[in-house]
Amino acid sequence: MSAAVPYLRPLPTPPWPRRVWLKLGWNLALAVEVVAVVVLWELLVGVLRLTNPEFFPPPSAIGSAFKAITSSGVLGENIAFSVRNFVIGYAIAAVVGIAIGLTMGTSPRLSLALSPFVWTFYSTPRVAIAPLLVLWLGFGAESKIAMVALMAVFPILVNVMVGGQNVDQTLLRAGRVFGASRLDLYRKVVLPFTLPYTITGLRLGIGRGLIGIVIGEFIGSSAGLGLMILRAASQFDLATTFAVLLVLLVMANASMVLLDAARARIAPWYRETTF
Amino acid sequence: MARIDIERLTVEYELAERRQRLVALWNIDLRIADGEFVVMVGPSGCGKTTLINAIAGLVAPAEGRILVDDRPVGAPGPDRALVFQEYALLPWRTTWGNIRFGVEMQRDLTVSDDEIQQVIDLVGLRGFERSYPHELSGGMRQRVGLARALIARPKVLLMDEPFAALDAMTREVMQGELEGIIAATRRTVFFITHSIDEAIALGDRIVVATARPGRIKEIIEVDLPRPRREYDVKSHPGFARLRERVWTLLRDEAVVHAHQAHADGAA
Amino acid sequence: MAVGEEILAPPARLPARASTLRARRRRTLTQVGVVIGEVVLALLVWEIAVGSLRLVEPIFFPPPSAIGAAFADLLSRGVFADHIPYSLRNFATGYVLAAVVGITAGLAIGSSYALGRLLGPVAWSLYAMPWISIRPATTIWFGFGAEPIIFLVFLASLLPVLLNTMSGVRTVDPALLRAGRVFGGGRVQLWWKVVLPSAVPFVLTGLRLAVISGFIGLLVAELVGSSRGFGALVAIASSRFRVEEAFATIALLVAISVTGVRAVGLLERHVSVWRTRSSSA
Repeated sequence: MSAAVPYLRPLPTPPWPRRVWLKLGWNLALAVEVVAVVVLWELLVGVLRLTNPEFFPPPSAIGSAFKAITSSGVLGENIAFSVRNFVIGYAIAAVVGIAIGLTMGTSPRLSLALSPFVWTFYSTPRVAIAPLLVLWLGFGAESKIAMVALMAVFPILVNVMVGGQNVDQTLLRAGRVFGASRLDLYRKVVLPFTLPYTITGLRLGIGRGLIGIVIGEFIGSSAGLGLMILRAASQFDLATTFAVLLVLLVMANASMVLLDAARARIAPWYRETTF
Repeated sequence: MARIDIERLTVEYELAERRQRLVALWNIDLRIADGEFVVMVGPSGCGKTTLINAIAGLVAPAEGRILVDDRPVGAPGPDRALVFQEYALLPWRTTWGNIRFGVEMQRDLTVSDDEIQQVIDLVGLRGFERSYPHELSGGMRQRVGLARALIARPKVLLMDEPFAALDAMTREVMQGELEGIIAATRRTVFFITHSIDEAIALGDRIVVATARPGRIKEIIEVDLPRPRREYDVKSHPGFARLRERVWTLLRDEAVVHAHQAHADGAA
Repeated sequence: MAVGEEILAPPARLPARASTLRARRRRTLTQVGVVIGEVVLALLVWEIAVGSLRLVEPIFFPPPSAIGAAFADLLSRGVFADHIPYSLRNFATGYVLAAVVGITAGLAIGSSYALGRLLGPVAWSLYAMPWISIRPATTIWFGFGAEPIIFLVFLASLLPVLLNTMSGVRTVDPALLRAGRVFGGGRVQLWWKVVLPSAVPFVLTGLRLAVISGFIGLLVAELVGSSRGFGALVAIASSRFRVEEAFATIALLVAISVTGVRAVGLLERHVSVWRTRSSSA
């Protein structure tokens, strides 16, 4: 009988500079990269004035503008307005999108019946409806919530629907054979199965929803980050404009990170085939 | 056609994340004669694919060397052509295009249309020159893979479990056809497989490998008469004897491998 | 799945049962009939509810007849002819620019490990951001003509193309690379003959998605601070409470965007016939 022979040998540990690089490596490089860009930008625009700082403010100007709107509380108010409306609109879109998507996905007849409407709305570039929404619902929170909901609902709906359509029929049959009720089947088979699709839809929904909130606030709003940008630009204050844009950038990425974190808790078994 | 001499070959892989070196092959000594058909069998992880990669020039040995016709093996090239288990055909090219692919990789090599047509006929794909891989069955795709390897007139034909993805009947058909093609072209072949039956049906000699780290346990002569596709080789009395011999050798290694896999998984 | 892929599912079919060709044809006809029937029914209900019964104020939500009339009116007055070529021209310019830059950059970043680690995360975090929010700044930079519109279309279309191209270059079947290397192919050869062709379907997907994003960019650019183009038409009509005109323009928009997306989708499917069946077992 051939005894097991050891086949693993330890590797010599590399000197410490390489060890640091291996551990932190590219993250460090990224951080350096960002800092370098900011410094370069400041140099080229702020110090050397290669372009008119009115047209393209240096980081220092953006920084002071940011301080100004934060300390005066203006930023806080508008963030609250925008975020509140975004969250409400997105929540509506998620509930409606998942509910209708699942129904359509699992019932071919309903899907056929509803699909003309779904597809009409899906094909409509919903941003174009923004002026009408302001017309109907006014300048307040309602039109923004409606805009976000409209923009976010379709990516969610369509993706959930396809997920429902792709549920493995054998799994459903197995469940029924063991006497599972309709509700049970939904909870224990359909929902987990469609989770990856739902998550894709939710991610897309965030992107579209953000577009919705911004365009809504551009067209007609009493408050919000979009309005801040509009006002700042109309006063040629590009520094404030960029400051708010940065806030939007952070918000957008934060939502994605939150979504991913939520997914990791709810569905740790799911490994997204991301790029 | 060429001789292959493998001397004291040891191949290691670096597992960076675990800060360890994995010994895939250890002290392999093997001589393959001109025109011989040698088959290697062993449990998963015994280094069969590593050995093929080493002969092909894809991995460098930690110790030892490989000589083809007394010259050390260098960078990969069409002189040691490989046929893949997963076919590895370019899906956007037709049969014709795929066969040319191997030769295209070497800029100073050209093949004429006649030569391509000849090899297509040889592997039995006449009429499918303009088909895409997704239009072909598994067996046909592997024929394309074989044609691609043969077109460059390789000194050595390396075959990495080429029929593993085929269903049982197609597999047997392809084994017979392979024997015919090799007989017609007289090449040195190094073939690896999991299937003991396949090894006995195809090989002149069988190399039985151990579990990781891969070493040669024993080399067995297959004295069954050729051409084997003209009779039911599995019914030959010698077949059962050989099979029992190989299986006895392999059974222990398979157990060791199972333990290793378990330990690896727990690590 | 592709980056930002919304699954453009076709309308659902009733579950397939073993059938003859005739039975299948009958089923398709039934489906088409149901769809048409529903659409007609919906339009009728809409017309009656608003037009005759006045359940909703027609000023806010006009009946199909009014929309149809407005459409015909806009068409005959040449309003569409004034604005549509403008929009389409700007869209095409911005889109083509984005395609060129996106594909080039995507190929470069995807092919280089270093660039991929350094620029990839940047591209990803930029992708999450709603780029249309930069619109007011573009007026300061470019003025009130076509340039800000082209710029916004460019921005909106760029990232889908870039990210999907990157993904395509990275997602090459390793078996194919091994095959190329085994036959002695060098890095350049492998790149040209294996990596690039393999990435084509991904590039096309990116281009298709960019049509949708770019169109959104176009509309936003025209809605805010432009006097010409689809979006401008809708904005102006809304501000004058001519809701039927706004709806009519939106209907035209739907027709155009659906056609555009379908066209690119067809092209994509045609080229990627081999994609779903891979090279391997």
